[in-house]
Formats: sequence, structure tokens, C-alpha cells
Amino acid sequence: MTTTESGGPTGQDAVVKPQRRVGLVWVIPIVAAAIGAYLAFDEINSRGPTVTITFDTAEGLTAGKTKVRFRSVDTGTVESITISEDLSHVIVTCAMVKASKKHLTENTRFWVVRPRVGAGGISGLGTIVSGAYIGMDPGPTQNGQTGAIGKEAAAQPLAKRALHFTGLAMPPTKAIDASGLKVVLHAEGLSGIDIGSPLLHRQTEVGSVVHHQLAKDGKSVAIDIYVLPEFSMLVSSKSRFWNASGVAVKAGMGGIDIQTESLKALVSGGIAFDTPGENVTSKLKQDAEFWLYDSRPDLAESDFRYGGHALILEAPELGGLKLGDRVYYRGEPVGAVVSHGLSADHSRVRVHLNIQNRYAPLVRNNSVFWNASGISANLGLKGLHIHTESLEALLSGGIAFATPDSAGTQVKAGSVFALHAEAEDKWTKWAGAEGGKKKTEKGLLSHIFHHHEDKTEEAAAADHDPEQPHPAEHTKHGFIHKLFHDKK
Amino acid sequence: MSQPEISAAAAGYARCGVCESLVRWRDMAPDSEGSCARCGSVVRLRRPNSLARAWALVISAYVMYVPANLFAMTAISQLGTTESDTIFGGVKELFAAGWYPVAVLIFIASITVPLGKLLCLTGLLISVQRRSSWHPRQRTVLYRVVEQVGRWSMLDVFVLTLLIALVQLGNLMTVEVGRAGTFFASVVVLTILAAQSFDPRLIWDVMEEEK
Repeated sequence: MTTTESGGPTGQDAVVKPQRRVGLVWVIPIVAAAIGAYLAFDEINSRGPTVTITFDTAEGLTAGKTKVRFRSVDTGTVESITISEDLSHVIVTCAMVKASKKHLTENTRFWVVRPRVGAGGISGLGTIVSGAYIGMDPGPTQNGQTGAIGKEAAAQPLAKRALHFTGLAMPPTKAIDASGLKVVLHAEGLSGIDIGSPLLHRQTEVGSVVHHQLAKDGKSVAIDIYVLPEFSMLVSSKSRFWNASGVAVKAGMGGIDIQTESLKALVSGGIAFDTPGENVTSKLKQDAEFWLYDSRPDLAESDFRYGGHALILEAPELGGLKLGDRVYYRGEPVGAVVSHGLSADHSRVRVHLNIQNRYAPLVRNNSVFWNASGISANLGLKGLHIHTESLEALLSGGIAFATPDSAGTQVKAGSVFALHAEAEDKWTKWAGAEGGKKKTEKGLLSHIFHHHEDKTEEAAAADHDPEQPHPAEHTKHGFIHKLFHDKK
Repeated sequence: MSQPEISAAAAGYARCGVCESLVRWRDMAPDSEGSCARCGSVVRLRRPNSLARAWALVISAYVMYVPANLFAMTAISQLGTTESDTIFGGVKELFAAGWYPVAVLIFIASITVPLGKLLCLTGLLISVQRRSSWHPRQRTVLYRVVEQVGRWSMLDVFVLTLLIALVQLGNLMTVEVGRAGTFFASVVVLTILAAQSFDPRLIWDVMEEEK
């Protein structure tokens, strides 16, 4: 800037300066336009897919406010809520975030999270103050990568993209860790069990009921339970589940025995389970199926009745046998009757047995079975010879079997034998199997010896016979099959 | 009028904007720049590039006005839920809540006034560019209003500043400024600068030439 010497009241000539260039000011609108263009691009670029979800009701949902959330992270916002043309449901349009695009598949599920108060607990408490939101579960998307465990996981290698969904009325099966275990229980009725009911093992909560639904034929209920990952090894194919709701009262000579699993189970219903024997380390596969007992099964009893070697006996008549009757070998109970019924042509009675696995090798293809119910009395020259399997068999009936000396081959599960009305004398004299008379010391020793021999032979046979299915595998299938077979 | 209507420029003088002394301008180009003989300040016959500058700033303000209104101005977190509101959304909210005076105030201060100022400036710029002789006095008044109102345009920003400072209740309620805040402030600043760049004497120059 230049200055002049002085100025009078009339003024002096101003000092001339070179002319300013025009145009620098236009940088401002250019910058502004650039910012605007960037913002527009950013906005369009970050815009995710728009999905429509149909619900029965829009209760608690607000256009522009309600969020879609997955694991409590916002994944979208409700844009508009309209009613379908036939007025039967509402259509909620949601703008999803861009990152959710690849998780929107036909397996994706949406539901409205509202406060729910049930016996199993209170959920969605936060939504009382924050308002409802739409829960999202991407479900299984790609092979192996699952957000939740389900039957679809294996069946769907790559789920199809989808933009239209039907909202669930209830929250779905919890978004479950793949590391946990999902087990399906079949029961005659729910008997107080609800979603959220605890799964108890030794009165400790190790999981919960996540879903239940009526079977397609309406004759049973399927209850999905989720076992927490850290407890999943407690469940094996031998596990037994029973309804732990309520109180079990047993009155007997020994007094009154009252049992309840936990206060929570008492109020909200619950399922308890127990796994007999040593813990099985091999992990049970997902969606394994079990039967849910009405009450805590007598573990000793179920050891006889479940999980063993299945055999079928055929007889002209039932002869006083009933469910739970023991199967004896040398007077020792080794199995039980698990079901009975007429054969397909009604000409015979079929009795289904369960022989405990450890005794299964005792049954050979030449074994004979007879009805050991009652007392057989032989009046001979030597005097009266009364023989009975055991007092229990005397009272409640039972089945005995014997195996001749000549080594037969081991039978497969499901083999059919004839059931004789009574034992022949020679059967009881077989070294391999001597009926039900009181064992002599020698006999017992020989039994043990033979038993041992049988076992080693057996193991060798099993090792060398590739066609023979693994016994455990075999019985597992037999067991499941039986469960359903019995219930029908 | 008793005095002849003659402008300083027509009489061959320029007025110093600081000390108000008249500087002789007779032999100089109209868009050149001088300095005051008395106080040394820069003296110009008219504000340099007045129209171009004003236009540039007005256009910039228009561009900024779009994101200022489309993006969220406030983000209110209340008990874990965050609600973002645009300026207009906030007004609607206040109106729905029954706070009519506040709603009207915010509506006027944040929506009507900035847009009104921009439209007025645009009108003035167009009229000057087209050398219109339409009601120069009213247009001058309009310009004065636009310039005077400028200082109040930041009302919404002030309100927001106060809210943010006062409502910091942790999880209970928190107010944060949204993306629109920056753009709104830039609209206000650009409009004020545009109004200052505009030289109201240009309105009267046309009258001068018509004589």
C-alpha cells in the first residue's frame, strides 16, 4: 500500500494501483461444488439395499426411527410402514447399511424385539425405554459360515440373495454359537416347557430351550434345546432327557421322596438330562434326536431298556410278558423288554428286547430264548426240582436265554429269534449257557472264562469283518429308530 | 429535492470508507484502487468485482444449503437410542411436542432467513446485472435488511452450541452436532460475505447513467 504526503479537505489524487485480476473468487463455488459432489457420491455409495419385511402388526415401529439390529448393532433403519392391499399385514420398508448386503439371504430372519415377559425370564427390557427395534439374524449364509445352527446349514451351500422377507412373530432360535450343541427332543407334550426354560445337568443350568413346535402329524412335540459350548461334551448318545418341571413325589415304604430340579425349573418348566457311564469324548453331531421322558427315568432301568443291542423275539403268544421285563442270562439281568406287539400278519407276537451292549456278545445266532415267567417245577426221582430265574422274574415275568457250546456267530441288532414257552432241560446244561439255576462256583468261573474268551473272539471278529457296522453306531441308529417306532 | 442528485463518482470523487474524506478520482479508471490521502486506507470507487464475488459466494452458499438441510443437524442420544434430526425434522419434532414458539423461532431463524437472504441477494444481483431501474430505493432497503439480519443467522448454531454444552447427561441424554452443522454454518458465513461483497451503490449507478 502506498501513501501520499498529505490530504487537503478537497482531497488529492488517489494513487493508482494495478488492476486486480478477476476470477480467484470463483474458487469458492468450485470448492463448494466439489464438496457437494463428494457428499452426494458418498451418500449414494454408502446406501445399502432396501428391503421389505411383512409383519402382522407394526406395533412399536416408527418410520424413520426404528432401527434394524443384529447383535445390537444398527444395520438399517425403517423408512416407511404401509399396510398391504388386502389389509392382512403391514409392509415395513427398511434401508439397510451397505455392509449388510451380502447377509441378506433367504435364510435371513427378522422379528420385532419388544419387551417379553414370560416364566422363562424377561427379555427385551431395554426396548421399554428405547422403543422396539427389528432384530435381524442373517442365518446361515455360506457353507460353513453360520450365524445360527440349523438344519438349513448343511443343506444350503450358498443361500440366495433376497430383499423381501416375512417377519417372524416370535424371536427365532437364538443366534447360536456354532460351537454349542443343538439337540432335538421329542415329547408327547410340552408339559410346561417354554422357550427359555433351562436345561439342567445336576441342577446346573447348561443350556436352554430355544424353540418348540408341533410335529407335522400333530402327535408329538419337537423341542429344540441349545447346550452351551462349554457343556456340550456332557451330552452323548447315551444321554437321557426328562422333563424336570414341577415336583416329583414318590411315596413308598422308605418314606416320601420329593425331588425338584430347581426353583426356576419349578416355575418355568425345565429339562434335565443325565449321561450314564463315563463321559463320552466324541462330540455328538448337531440336531441329534432324543426322547424326552415325562419324569426322571430310573437310570438303572433305562440302562436296561435303552441304548443297547436290539433283538426281536417271536412267539405264538405273549405269555405274561410286559414292558420292562428283564432278560436273564444265567439269572443275571442283561436286558429288558422294550416293546411288544403283533407281527404284521397278526399271526405271532413280536417282543422287542434290548440287551446291554456289554452283554450283546452273549447272544449268538444259535441262542435260544424262553419265557422265564413263573416257576417250573419238575417232579422226578431225585425229588422236586423247582427252578425260577429270580424272585423278580417270578413276580413280574421275564425272558431267559442260553447259548449252546458250539460257537455261533454274533448276531446283528434287529435279529429275530423264536421265543419258546419254556426251557428244555439240555439248554440249562450248556456250558456256554446254563439256564437259570443257581450258579456253582465252578460254573461261575467257567462262565467268566468263557465270557472272556467270547469277548476276545468277538473283538477279533469285529476287527476282521469290515462289513460289520461299528456296534456303537449300530445301536445308536437302532435306538433312535426304536424311539419313534415305540411311540407310534 | 433541493440538492442536485449527483453522486460522488459523477462529480469526480471517491469516498474513503474509513475516514469519510472525499478523494479526487477524476482521471482514474473506475475500477482502479487508490489509497486515502488522509488516512491511508484503500479507496475504491466501487467494491472491486462486486458482482462476481457476490455471485460466487451466493452460488457456494446455495450448494452448501443442500447438505445443510439433508443431513442431520442434531444427534440426540436418549437412553441408548440415537435420534438424528435434520433442521426441518427438528422443527417438526418441536411442533409436534407443542413447543410452538420455539418451533416457529427455529423455523424462521434456520430455514426462512438463510434461504430468504440468499433469494434476496440473488434478486439484487440479477437486477443489477440486468441494469434494472426498478424501485432502487426499495432494493437498497432490502439490501440493508439482508445485511442487518446476517448477524442473527447463526441463531440455530448458537442454540445447538448451547444444547451441546448443557445437555451432557451421559447415558441419560446427550446432544451432538450432526454433519449438517458445518454446512449450515458455512451457508451463513458465505451469505454474510456475499452480502458484504455486494455493493449497493451499483443499484444507483444505473439511475446515474440514465440521466
